[in-house]
Parts: sequence; C-alpha cells; structure tokens
Amino acid sequence: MTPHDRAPTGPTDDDLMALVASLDPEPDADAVAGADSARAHDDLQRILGAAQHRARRRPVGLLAAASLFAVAAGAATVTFWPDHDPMTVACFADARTDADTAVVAARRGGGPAAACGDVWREGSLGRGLPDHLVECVLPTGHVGVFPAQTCDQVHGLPGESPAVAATPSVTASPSGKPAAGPPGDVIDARDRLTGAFAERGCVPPDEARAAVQSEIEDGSLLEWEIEEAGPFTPGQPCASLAFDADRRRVLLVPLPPPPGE
Amino acid sequence: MDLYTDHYRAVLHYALRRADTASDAEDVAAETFLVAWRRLEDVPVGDAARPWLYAVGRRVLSNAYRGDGRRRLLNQRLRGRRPLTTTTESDTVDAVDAVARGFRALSDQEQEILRLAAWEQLPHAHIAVVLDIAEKTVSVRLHRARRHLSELLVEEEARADASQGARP
Repeated sequence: MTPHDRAPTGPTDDDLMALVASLDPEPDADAVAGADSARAHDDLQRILGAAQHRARRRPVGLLAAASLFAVAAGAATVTFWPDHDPMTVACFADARTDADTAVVAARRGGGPAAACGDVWREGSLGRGLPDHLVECVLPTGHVGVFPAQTCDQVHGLPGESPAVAATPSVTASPSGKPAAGPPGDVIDARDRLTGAFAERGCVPPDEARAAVQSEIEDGSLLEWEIEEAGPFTPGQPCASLAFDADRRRVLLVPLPPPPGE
Repeated sequence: MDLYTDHYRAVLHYALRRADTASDAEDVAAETFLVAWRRLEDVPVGDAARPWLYAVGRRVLSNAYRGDGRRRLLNQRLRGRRPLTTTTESDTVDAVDAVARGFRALSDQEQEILRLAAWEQLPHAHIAVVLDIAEKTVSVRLHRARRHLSELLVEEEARADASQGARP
C-alpha cells in the first residue's frame, strides 16, 4: 500500500506511524558506533576528566551586589535579549538555571548584576541581599545573574571541557529537578519564545501576545494566562516576556526600544 | 561505566537522526553523558535510563539547533530522503514526498512526538519521560499529531487529484 492508496479517506493510525517510520533518516550502520569505538573511548576520557575540573566555567564578571535602580517584574522565568546588548536581565532566585527569576530592565552602564541588586534589596526574590551576585553566560548565550560566588556553583550551566565546549548544555532534566522548577512543557515554550524573540529588536506587545496565545492554544502553556506587567507607552513600546510558574501567568513586560531603533 | 557501555550506541543513534552531521551527533552524545556523569545520582536505573538520556540529549539538541534552524536542518534531512520502496513508478516517489511535506508542516512538538513513537519505537511511558509530560498527555498529543498529519495527507491527495484532473 502506498500513501496514495489511503489518502482520500485518511490513513489509519498504524499506517500513519508506518509512513512516519519511512521518513526515518536511518544513519549508516558505520556511523552508529558503540561505546568501544575510538571516538566513544576518547569522549569518555574527556567526560571523566571534565567532571574533575568543573571549576572551569565562563564567568563574565563578579561583583558584590549594589543598591541600584531597577524596574522589576514579579518572580518569573524570563525571555531576554542577548548579552552583547541586553535590554533586560534575568535575576535568578537560586544558583540554578531553572530557579524562579525576576526580569529587570538593563541599566545603562550598570551591568546585569548591578541591575539585579535592587531587586534583591527589595525582597522581590524572597530573601535579603546576597553577599555575592555573579553574571554567567547561560546555555542560550544570554547573561543570567545568580546568587553565587562563582559560575561553577550554579547548577545547570554548561561545563567547559575541550570535547563539549562548542555544544551548549542542558538546563533541566526530567528527574532530579527541584520540585519548584517549571515543567518541561513550560521550559520548551519558554525556549521557543526566547529563540523567536532573541533574534528580534523591538517586539510589539500585540505580536508578543499572539505568540504566547499560540503556545497556550497549542497546550504547551495549558491553563496559563497573559498579563501585562505595566503600561506600554511611547517610551516603552516593546514587549519582553516573563514566566510566573506559580501563578501560571506570562507577563508582557514593557521595555524601551533597543538602541538605534 | 555500565551506563555508557549500555546506552552510548542508542544515544548516538538518537542524535544522528536529528543532528546535522555525524560529528555534531557525537558531540551531542558526549555532552549527554557528561550531564549524566555529573548527575549520576539522578539517572534512573534499568530501562528507564534510556529515555532519561534521550531527554537530556533532546535538551542538548534543542540548544544546539534552536527554533527555525533546527526545523530547517531536519527539513533538509527529510528532503534528502529517498523512498524505501524500490520502484521506478513516480507516484510512489510522489507519495513519499507528500508524506515528507505533510510531516514538515507539523509543529516541532508534533514532529518530535511522532519521531519518538515511530523512529525510537518508545512506549508512551518513555515518551512521557523524554518530553517531561504526563503519560496521559502523550496519548492526547500523539492522537492530535496523527490526526493533523492525516488531514494534511488528505489535503495533499486532494491537491494531487485536482492537479491531475486539470491536465488535458
């Protein structure tokens, strides 16, 4: 039977799965090496070596938290712009990449950690000002600020072994994840939206709302709602997103346009 | 390291099906086991280890091939597929192409759940682990993905019929 034979009435489930299976780009048998291959053996040595040298991370700065002005949204996980010219900064509540996060507008000249300092002082992240805040490069290539002394203390950041330096790491796994962390669907939705927004300049709020609504209707953000974190004005016409897992809210955060727009 | 010995081939296979190059797939496998090594206490024992490793590999791939880039790469791979049926009949080639087109038209989420079921042959419980969703949700999403693909194939067929009917 070919797909043509069935198409007018629609194929059965079994036929459909067989058709999908026929699309499998089955790798060459030679390419699917076992653990005894030379490459696998080399990788294992690097993995074991890297596990012993976790201190090698990618800190981009380290400073004690300072009391500086910041525009904070609620505790949330956040979509933000790339580190080379961040419009917003993600301030993580704990030293792990799936922790709750406050999104703040980046300060001109202050740096990400400085922008997060006041959020901590205000108690928006639930505790007093930590002794140290560290800026680390996230797997997405963005900057996150964590309450830690070094990036090595942050759970979920990629390591930097020679074998894997070019491959970004994971931010969550299905088990062993802290109970407070967002579920995989939400992380996936956040990643999709982050990817879509990261390549953009100013995203109008209507467009941001439509993108989030699409994820809600798709079931990735089931029973979530959209909420504006503040008024969109001529001075702040662009939308960033924040994810509040506890309240199941996606916040549209008003921001000024990026420089040059 | 039994985990490595027992599952390396499967993880590499999973990555090869989705990565752009064999070298990328090897990097993904290495990164997956690096994560597993660091979180050894979290890795389930027995059969459950494999979907756990796939889940990590999926995250690694997701970060490596984000959004449109990943979709484009997969589409390129699918475009490069040849029909498995050995035949010179053009309608079989057209049919396989139609399936590939329909599959590409699905969302990333729909494509991945179908891949896990049809390519990796994973049971619903293991798909749930890989995607970090409830097993019940797997059933719902698989149903929706199959229905969507079926609709797309019917549309493809209707278009093909209309095209044939329009010929002199």
